[in-house]
Amino acid sequence: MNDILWNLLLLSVPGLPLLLAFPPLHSRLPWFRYLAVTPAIIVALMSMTYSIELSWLLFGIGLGIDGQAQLLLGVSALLWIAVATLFSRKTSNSKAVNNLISSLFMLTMAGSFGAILATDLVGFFVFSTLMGYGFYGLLIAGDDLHHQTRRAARIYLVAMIIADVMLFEVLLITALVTENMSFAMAHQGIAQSDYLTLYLWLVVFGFALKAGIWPLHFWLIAVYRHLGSAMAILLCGVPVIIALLGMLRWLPLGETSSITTGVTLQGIGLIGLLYTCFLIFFEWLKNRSFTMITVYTMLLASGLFIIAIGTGLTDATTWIRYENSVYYFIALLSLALAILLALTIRLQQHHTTTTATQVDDNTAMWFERWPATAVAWAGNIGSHTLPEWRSGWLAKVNHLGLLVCVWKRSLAANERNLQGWTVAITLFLTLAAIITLLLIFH
Amino acid sequence: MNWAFWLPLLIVLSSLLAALVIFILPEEKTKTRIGLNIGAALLKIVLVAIMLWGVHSGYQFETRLPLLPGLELVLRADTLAMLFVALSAGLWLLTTVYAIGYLEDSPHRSRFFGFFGLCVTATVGVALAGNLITFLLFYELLTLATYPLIIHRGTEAARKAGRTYLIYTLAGGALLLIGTVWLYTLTGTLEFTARGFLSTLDSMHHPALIIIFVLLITGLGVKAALFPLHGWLPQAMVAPAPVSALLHAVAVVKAGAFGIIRVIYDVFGIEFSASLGVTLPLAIVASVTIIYASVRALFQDDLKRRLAFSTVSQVSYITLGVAIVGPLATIGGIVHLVHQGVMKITLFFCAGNLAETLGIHKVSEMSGVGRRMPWTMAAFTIGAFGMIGAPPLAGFISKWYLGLGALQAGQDWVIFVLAGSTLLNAAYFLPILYAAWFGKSTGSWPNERNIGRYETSLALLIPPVITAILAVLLGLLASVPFSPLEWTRLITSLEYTP
Repeated sequence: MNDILWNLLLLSVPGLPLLLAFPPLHSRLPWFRYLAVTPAIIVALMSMTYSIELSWLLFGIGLGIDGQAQLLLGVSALLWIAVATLFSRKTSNSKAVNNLISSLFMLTMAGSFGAILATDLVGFFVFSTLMGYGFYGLLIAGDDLHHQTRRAARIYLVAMIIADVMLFEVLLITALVTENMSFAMAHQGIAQSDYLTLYLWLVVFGFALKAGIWPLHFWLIAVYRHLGSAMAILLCGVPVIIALLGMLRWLPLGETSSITTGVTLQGIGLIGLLYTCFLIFFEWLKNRSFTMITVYTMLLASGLFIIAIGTGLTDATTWIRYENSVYYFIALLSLALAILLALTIRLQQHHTTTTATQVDDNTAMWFERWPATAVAWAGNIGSHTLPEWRSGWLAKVNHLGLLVCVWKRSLAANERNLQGWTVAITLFLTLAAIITLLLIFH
Repeated sequence: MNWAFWLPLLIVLSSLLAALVIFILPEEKTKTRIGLNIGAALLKIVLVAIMLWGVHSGYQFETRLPLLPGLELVLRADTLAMLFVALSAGLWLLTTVYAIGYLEDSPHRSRFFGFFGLCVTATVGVALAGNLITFLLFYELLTLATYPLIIHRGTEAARKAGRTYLIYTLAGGALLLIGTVWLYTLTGTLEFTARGFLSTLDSMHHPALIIIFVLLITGLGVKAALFPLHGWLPQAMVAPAPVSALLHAVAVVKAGAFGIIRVIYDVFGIEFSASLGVTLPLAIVASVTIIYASVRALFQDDLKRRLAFSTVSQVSYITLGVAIVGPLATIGGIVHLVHQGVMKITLFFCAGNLAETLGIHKVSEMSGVGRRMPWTMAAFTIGAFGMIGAPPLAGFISKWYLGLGALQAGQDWVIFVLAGSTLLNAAYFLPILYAAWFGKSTGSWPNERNIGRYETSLALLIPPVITAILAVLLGLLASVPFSPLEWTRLITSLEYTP
């Protein structure tokens, strides 16, 4: 394929969604959401390393595709197709609202694709900012929005703006030490400058805030609590993953080592992991919200990611050896979380209706029932024969046992729901696995 | 015909002659008035384009006319002047189109457009002034020409705002005059010179020069709305929307900011100013203004007042940029002269559209207005995001160079000012956008009028859409030749010793 065609194709990946963001265009085109993803799929499937330099754009922006970008672009395109399908059902009576949602959808898509293809800091910043604001708009667009959703969106917006301000400072520092803002040159420049530590922390803080990594995860949980399935998938598959990608792209990993920063990050990642494990445990016991548990799983994964980043900063040679696996990790994470979220949200809806009608579940086996029986027995003893302080303690244990029973019932209920979806889930997972493998081999 | 002599004069006269004819036109001669307005604005743009090309090619354009013994009225087209002239000429055309639509059925249109033309004449004169005395003359003419525009509606509030405006600006003008005369007695010249003409003065005059600097900057700071001299600007919001647009984006505040640039670079010289120790206090005042005005803007429910405080804050970016000693910060400051103008005029046009079409004057009345007036609010959104400094819009370019310049000059504290200002800008602009696009619409507006086939009349709709597109292009295409950024690089290269 000649250069002109490649240039056009590469430009059309973020360019076509950007163009289709105009209501007069998308309102006249059928299947415009899928049409907008097409260039991304084509580029992801073509095994070629290619880049273009748009020196006339802003301070000179570069777009390029390599193995890592191909993988992420492919996975991202898949997610966008899934979300487009879900979004096609999210319509309003008002044409103006529909147009607004479609425009914001396209802007977010353009931003995410552009960020994946960006080969320099400024380009990444521009596209990720576009994506961030677009996503915020999507969060709050709609007719009957719950006030908690609006509140959560506000928190997301504030987090995003603060992160953007930090990353803007990073850009300034980079521009001060090097004229060339491409990732490779920026890494070289910053590695040799006095600003290295400040740069590292600003990048980590900025993107950690955007990705909702512990201990900056507050907005992520607040937002997730009130999201529908399409937006939940979009959040974990797009803004969070792009933020993680940003950390990989912006940090001079493999270029230099910063042991103090690296070890500190490893520590933070580890604490984050432990904290998230506790969160998952208590969430399961208290609320059994599958969606939230999926979110915590994401937090868990981001903790692992931070440990990997810390390791990379501690030892540059190790990073060079395992760099690609981190990209695969991000790609698979986004895909896995999207599938998990889609399933859990679906299952939770079924679970709510099932538990409402089915009070007793006598299908459990004897060995599943004994903990509850034992706890109930102990509780009875505690409340009748032992002193009061002990009975209170046993009552708590009893309560815990009851929670276990509820857990058991819900698992059983979900099992039945899952059986109804077996064929669909198997097909979807197989398809996703095949496409991911194809992309990896590409 | 000697183009080098006549072109600067013709550019000034093109709007002056049109204004004088419009003054004597009967009120009902609408078509003639429109023809004169648009024709003069187009002619000015053509003349400016010729001169821009000429200056870029190295031609010298200068008009010298005797004024007083030893003093001349000098109009000179240097690179800095051309930046401001091009901005004024371009935005004048759009503001004229807008004003024609805005005042379609209003009384006293001949008076309005007459003073409107005078105002632009004075602004172009300020831009092309080749010495301080010429600058002063046009600067004062600008004060007098804008006063009737502010009180155009004739209400008590308008007259009060006009009085406040006159008191502030005439007092500022007086300080500027004292500073100018004192400077003339010290040096015997007032000619603007690249890198200034005062560095050769004996060091015994330095205390006097510091006082003169303070007098000149205070005089100019009134129009540039530096804290605490900004009080007139929010009050002047009672003026019609085209006047507000003109005051904020093209004429008055820009004349003040442009004057500050001239005094620092072409009277004192940036390096000499720094050696006198006057630039750091000026940078601090500008920073205080940026933060203070942003905080004040947060609490304004009146849309135009919020925009007015935003102007106070944003214009101080220009002052901050020139007060930070360094070429990159200078680029940031000077280029913001153009960028702020384009973005702010968009916002005022949109505010005018909302007021004229739906009777909306307050932020609290804007819920759901984006669905009723999508094009207007799309333009407003671009302007607002530009002001916040979101990439890739024009405001991002300005903030980039200001921040980079501050780091380069070792004035890291400016980064915190910029960061704080960005957060505050977001805090007072985003709620407007939120209400407009995502707020629930009741369907009834304070005073809805059906104007034209579209959401409002085309004369009101086209100018903000064009300026919004410009705000995007100025950012996206910042590096192409003849862009304001590239032009500013050229200006800066002349002002700093290699």
